[in-house]
Amino acid sequence: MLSLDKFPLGCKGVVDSLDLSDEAFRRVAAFGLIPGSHFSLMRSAPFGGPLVLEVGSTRFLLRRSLASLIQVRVAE
Amino acid sequence: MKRFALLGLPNTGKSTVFNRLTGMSQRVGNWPGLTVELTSARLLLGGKMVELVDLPGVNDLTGYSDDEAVVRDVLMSTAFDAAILLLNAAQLDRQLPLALQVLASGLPAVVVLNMADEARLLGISLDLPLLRQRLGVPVVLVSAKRMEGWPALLEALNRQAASAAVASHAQLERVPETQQAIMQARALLAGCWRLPAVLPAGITEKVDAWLMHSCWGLPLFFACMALLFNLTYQIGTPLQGWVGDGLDWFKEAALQHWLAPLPAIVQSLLLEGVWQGVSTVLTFAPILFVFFILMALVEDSGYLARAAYLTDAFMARLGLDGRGFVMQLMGFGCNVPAILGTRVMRERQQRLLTMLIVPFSLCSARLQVVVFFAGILFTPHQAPWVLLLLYLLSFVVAIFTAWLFKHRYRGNEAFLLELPPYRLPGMRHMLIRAVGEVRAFLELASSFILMGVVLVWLVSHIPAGDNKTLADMLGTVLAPVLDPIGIRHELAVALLVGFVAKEILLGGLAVIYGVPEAGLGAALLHHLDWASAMSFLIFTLVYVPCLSTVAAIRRESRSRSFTALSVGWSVLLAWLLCFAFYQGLHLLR
Ligand SMILES: Nc1nc2c(ncn2[C@@H]2O[C@H](COP(=O)(O)OP(=O)(O)OP(=O)(O)O)[C@@H](O)[C@H]2O)c(=O)[nH]1
Ligand SMILES: [Mg+2]
Repeated sequence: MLSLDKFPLGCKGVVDSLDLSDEAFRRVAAFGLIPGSHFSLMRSAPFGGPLVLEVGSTRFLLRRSLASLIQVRVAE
Repeated sequence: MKRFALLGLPNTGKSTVFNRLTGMSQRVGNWPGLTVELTSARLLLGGKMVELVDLPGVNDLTGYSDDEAVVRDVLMSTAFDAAILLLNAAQLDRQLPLALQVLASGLPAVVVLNMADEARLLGISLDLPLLRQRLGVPVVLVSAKRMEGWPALLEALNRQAASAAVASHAQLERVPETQQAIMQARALLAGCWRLPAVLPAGITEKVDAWLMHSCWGLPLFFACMALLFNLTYQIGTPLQGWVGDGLDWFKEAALQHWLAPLPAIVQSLLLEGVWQGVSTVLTFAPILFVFFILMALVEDSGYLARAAYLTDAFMARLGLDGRGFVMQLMGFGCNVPAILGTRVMRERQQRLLTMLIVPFSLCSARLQVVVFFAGILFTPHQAPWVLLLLYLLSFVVAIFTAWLFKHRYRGNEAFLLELPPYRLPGMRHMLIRAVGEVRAFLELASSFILMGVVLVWLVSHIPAGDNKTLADMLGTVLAPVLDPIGIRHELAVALLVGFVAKEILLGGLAVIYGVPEAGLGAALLHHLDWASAMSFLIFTLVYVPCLSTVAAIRRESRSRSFTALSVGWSVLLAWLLCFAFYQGLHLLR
């Protein structure tokens, strides 16, 4: 298990847990990121910029600071 | 009368459907959170008059941010006969939970799966009858952009409108929690909606490989912006010249003869005041047209979200995020929607900080002033680059302001943003948008700007003793602040009306110097030296954009002291910049 901001670029993963406030959880969940959901990490911006994830056919960006609160594992 | 609400997540095509159904031209764009206010229009459905309400997008019915609050408030205070639930057919996994929340609230609903074209390209399999059966409400599959599936949509809406049920309020207390709704949606979609195991690579990936590239992304962004302003200038200024010639010809060939019988003072008011002022302003209509076509292209393509991605790391250091940068870009059109657009930010502090920098974004009214001054102070070769440089300056000013105030307005919200696929902007939509903006500008010219130039004429013609006019007196009073920054006294009145709207400014100048548009450049150069004209330009670009923006800031911040800070800071900063520029130039000479 590792946090999303340390996840290897270009790989697919599964969300384990989210350590977020209710409000932040709702925002993240609206993009389909909840425990058990599959994602792939598409891109990461230089200079500590945001990550781009794909969940289903939805692409979205999220900040590294937020990603560090999300525990994930690499999908087999 | 019946009332239907258009509900759905951001960027699902609600405004597109609204426009298609009502024939209106609400702003649409490939940017989540473009609509932030309610709009409604009437149409005939099933033989009944129906009021259709276009709502801002919401992620969740249990959220409390400002944009979601708009929707919650409406749903609680108003009874609706039906909700038209707009979902992106390619993203049902994340969009259906909202639909389930709405259905649980007890509102009768018609579910519209939009973007059928994109879902097809992605190879999504959908069992429509099964979904219909499981949801227990009408479900139609459409593409609003291409108007595919329209007959079925109209039929479902007609049937809904014809039903005899009375309107009801949404019972938000019955709405399931987010996680619960997601679980229900998952179960519901099993076996009737499926993505292919591997999504086919589309054009978006290929374009993004360049536009979101870690090294090339930002340079390409600046190249795009340079292209946008260069095109505006290169296409717009010749058109402007023709319009100017036409208006001058009209004045000499017709207007002067018609007005000849009138007394001299009235002739002066009408020709040197009204005509010169308003016609100067009118010559900018073609430039605005070109500019708004290009802006619509950028907004509707999906590039704004990429700009947010590229700039977020930098904006984070200023206590802002990529959306703040995009609002700055949106402000190029007009600052007011950009101020309203900050509603998608949930944290008040961050929202305030963004609102503080939006007014520095050079709106289309200031674009006129820049184009004009760049044209007279620089060679035609340099002018487009000067234009670009001044836009960069506006960013620098905004960045400096954010940096200065970031500790006062500290925010740290969970920032996520959809990166929609690139979408081909509709030619029709771009034209409608540009025509709409130009029409609004012409309406402004026929009321507001007209009044403004008459006022300037009066002030610069009413004697106030000693062979001086009111305008001279105003200049003398303000001399202690104007002299150090090299702005001539007679221009004080122009800056004063510029506070109301920058569109009046050039008209005001034409009236002050009593020359038509064609001669204004020469007249200005005759009265002002280069440094003083530049100083006037810089001041104009940095101080308060217009009264409407101030009113929007007041409304959105709900704080008088914040509004005062915003106004006071921009005037002070404008003055300081001009002081540094003007005095610095003098030291160098
Ligand atoms: N490919 C495709 N694009 C569409 C379709 N319908 C709308 N769009 C595009 O989707 C984007 C979003 O459309 P809008 O109508 O602004 O969406 P909205 O739901 O009003 O968005 P917000 O106001 O931000 O909540 C625009 O670029 C539209 O041109 C469709 O059927 N197919
Ligand atoms: Mg909309």
